[in-house]
Amino acid sequence: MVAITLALLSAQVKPMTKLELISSIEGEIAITVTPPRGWHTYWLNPGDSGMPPKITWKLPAGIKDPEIQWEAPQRIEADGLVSYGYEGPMRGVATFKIPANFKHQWKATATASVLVCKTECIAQSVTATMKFDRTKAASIRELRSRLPKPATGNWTLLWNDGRPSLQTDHPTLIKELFPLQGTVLLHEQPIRDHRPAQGQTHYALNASDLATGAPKEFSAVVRDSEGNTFWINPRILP
Amino acid sequence: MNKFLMITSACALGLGAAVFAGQMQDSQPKPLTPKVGSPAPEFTLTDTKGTSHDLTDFRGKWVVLEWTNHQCPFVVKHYKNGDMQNLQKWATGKGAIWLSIVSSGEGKQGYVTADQANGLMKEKGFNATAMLLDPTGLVGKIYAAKTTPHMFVINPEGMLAYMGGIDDNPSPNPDDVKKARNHVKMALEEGMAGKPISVTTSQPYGCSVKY
Repeated sequence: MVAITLALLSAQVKPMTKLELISSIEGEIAITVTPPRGWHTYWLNPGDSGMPPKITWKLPAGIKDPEIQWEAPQRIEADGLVSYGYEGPMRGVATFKIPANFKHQWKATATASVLVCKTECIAQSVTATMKFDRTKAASIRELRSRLPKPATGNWTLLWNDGRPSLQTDHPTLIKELFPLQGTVLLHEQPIRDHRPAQGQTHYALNASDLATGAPKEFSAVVRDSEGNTFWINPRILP
Repeated sequence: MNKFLMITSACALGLGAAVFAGQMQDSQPKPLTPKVGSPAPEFTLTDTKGTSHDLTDFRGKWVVLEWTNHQCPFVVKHYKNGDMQNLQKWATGKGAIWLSIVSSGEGKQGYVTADQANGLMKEKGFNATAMLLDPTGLVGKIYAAKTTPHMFVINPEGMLAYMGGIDDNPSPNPDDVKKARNHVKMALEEGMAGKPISVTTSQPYGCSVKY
């Protein structure tokens, strides 16, 4: 019965999630994962529910798996739960280290394993092979410009008796925060409030119900009041 | 649901008043979320056979709560090859109580009537102590159950000992189950042996509970 139900659900969401791999310069591939209309995919930390995307590569010998940077996610609310993901195409850039002596034309094939959800969820895997297209150079540059950049300035995560806060001299106001680790901050409302503090801004944060103390590691994507996105890797003070 | 109905429903279900302490100032009160090391929220639910189960009835035993939705790919992952059934059999064989809970609302994915649930349990070879029906989602929300599966382990003193994912491999592939660290099995093994539980929380993964 379960198998029949899943088959019916799959039939309802045709066409399936699409994967596109476009390269315009050596060593860089733009990845676009597009779920069926009305469905969404998940970020690296999916939030309250979901599954992080997994990309597996088939590459020539001598080329290793790339680093992938994804666009900042959006907040998706359903049934009182908050997930982090993408309601439209999920875009990222994979950067490969190509050995200097690598002379011949190379080809990459990737399989994206994603969970797509609407009112129900379906796990899908989709495979594509890289297409080389120099005419896409400008659009890939534009995509790269939209990826979260490493934040400048000083960032400190304070964990005072189970009450976390973030202190920074970042010049613009942080409006959204997406923690990479899923057990540190409350997905529903990571930032509680903020106030100026001696030339800096102090953000009071909400700890996750799953937090058991100051995290050993913490990083996040933040979106500021101007819509810019940054990766932060704050110093942690327990 | 307004505040009065929420309290009335909670009382009707035998829920501890402490669950709601300090949460009544908002127009939409939220129960206190459970914490490892704190008393597990009490509840009473009816199973698929019509039997009522009160959590306090199981004091003195280890209890596992498993939020489930038979149509979720992550639940299918753990039942397809019999992994969840084997874990249920192992745990109940050690004297633990295993309660599978369905909090899907009527018309939502995973919702089952008692008859449908009994058919599923037979078909899938469930080895849980009972499957409890929570179509209003009240108990699910009190436990802040977010995903299917979402697992909770309660010690014989009624304290929450573990909450989170069933394992550390958030994939829908049934073949990945054997490669993963099963947090529930480890918590029961360590707890029953009188050892500290090494992983007490983890991020649950899977489909959202379809309240």
